[in-house]
Amino acid sequence: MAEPRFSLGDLSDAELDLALTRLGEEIVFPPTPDLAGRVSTRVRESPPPRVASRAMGAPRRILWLAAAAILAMLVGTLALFPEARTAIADRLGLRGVLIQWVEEMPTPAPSPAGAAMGLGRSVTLDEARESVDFPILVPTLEGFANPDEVYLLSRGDDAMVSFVYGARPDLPSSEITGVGALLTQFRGTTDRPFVEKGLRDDDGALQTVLETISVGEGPGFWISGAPHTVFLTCREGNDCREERYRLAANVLLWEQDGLTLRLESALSREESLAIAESVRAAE
Amino acid sequence: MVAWNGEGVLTRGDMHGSATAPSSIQAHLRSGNHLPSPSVQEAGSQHAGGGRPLDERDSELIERARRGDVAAFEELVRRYQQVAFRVAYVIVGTTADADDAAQEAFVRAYRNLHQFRAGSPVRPWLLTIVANAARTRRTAAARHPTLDLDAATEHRAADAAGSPEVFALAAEQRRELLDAVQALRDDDQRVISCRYFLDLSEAETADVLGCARGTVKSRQSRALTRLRQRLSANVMTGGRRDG
Repeated sequence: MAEPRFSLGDLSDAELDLALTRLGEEIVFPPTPDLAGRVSTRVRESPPPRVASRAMGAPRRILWLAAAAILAMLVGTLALFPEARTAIADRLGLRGVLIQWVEEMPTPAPSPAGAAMGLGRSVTLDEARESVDFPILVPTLEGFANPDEVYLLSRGDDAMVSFVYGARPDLPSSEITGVGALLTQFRGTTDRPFVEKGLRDDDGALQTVLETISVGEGPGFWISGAPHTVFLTCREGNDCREERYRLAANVLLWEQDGLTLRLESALSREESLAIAESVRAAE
Repeated sequence: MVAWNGEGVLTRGDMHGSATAPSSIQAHLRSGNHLPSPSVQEAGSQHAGGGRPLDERDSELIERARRGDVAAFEELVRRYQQVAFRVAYVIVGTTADADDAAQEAFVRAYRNLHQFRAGSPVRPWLLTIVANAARTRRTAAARHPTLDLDAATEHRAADAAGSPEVFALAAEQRRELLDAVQALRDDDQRVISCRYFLDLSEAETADVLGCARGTVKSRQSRALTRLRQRLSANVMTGGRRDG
């Protein structure tokens, strides 16, 4: 038998790569069993797919605390690996919040003021408290305890409460919302997500920067850079209505007391965090 | 939407630079080893390197399954059972455990359909669940998966080439290469299996191995370095010609 013309040990990197690729085409795996039939039998015997629970029981709370701890650990990883950052943001998401990256965004008309942002009807804080079945959280930081306007958006059992703060010297007007700050809270569910869309440029780099951060004990995201679109709410299932989107300024998203909160303004990350960390359930 | 599509993933060749002159092995592999396409083409299957396109049929099946249509879910399982079983096999190493893990994963997926994000590709979501189920099942006594070469394919290739001697050698070297891969440590074997034998993208490989996407490339590179060391050692000791 003739000797081989070359040794495998002498292959270049590219040759080894190619050799393995070709080898992969010849690999024989054990025959795939018929999983479909057995899985089908098992799921017929089990309850139908469950709908995300609205109430957050103790076990889930513990899970979320654990998730927050994991998120905190991931921050170091995220700084090193931009791809990982995107992946993790996509996957962990906040309950009720979906963050998607898109190559192109349609150009929505910036909304001038609170009333035009699709936040619902104007109410007083007390009226809002009576209308929703969760304790409304309010910032305790001076200047933020009494929002200028309160809005309530109800749809079925879902409710979203928004505080609008007018522009003032310490709270510059956001070019996008036309107000100083917008603080929104709602009970996050996975089946009716609140969608944020970030943008990539032609090279796939993120124009909208997404950072995972901790707010108090909860997981959060800081979204800054290029304006991004946001769908305020979604209807049944994941059917989001495109016409509801609008541009968003800098946004801090976080979880607290089973609610998802969102602060949108022209403020910096540190200023936004100071407001967020002062948020408490009012007496 | 680009979530989950494995964007930015280099093709395997890119990892080592693209300026590859035609070489002995390339010419050798190209000369007669034109293998038939895999007979089972699974949904969403394509070469690693690009995103996996959204499959409309998948989306439809998921939606129907969410509304309780078990037949739709069964069709979805049928579409992905092969890659699911193979991924599980690479992780647990025995067909019985791989069967159990893949089955468990599909049942879990069904129960967690509400967590699936509408409009995302199904395959990476399923593979992540499969890998988690398989890792849970993997025990300290887990075995290496036993992989073999397709004897029928080798035979066909030799016929096509019309030069049995060349292909006897080629088959021998392919066998040597596979033996060297199977002699690597577990984590090296898994990354090579994911990338080359299961044809997973880097993003999918990260999901399956439970590591960050950014580390797949370096893991793969280290595995190839150790593979090369082993192949060079074979030369020093006279190689492995026993098949």
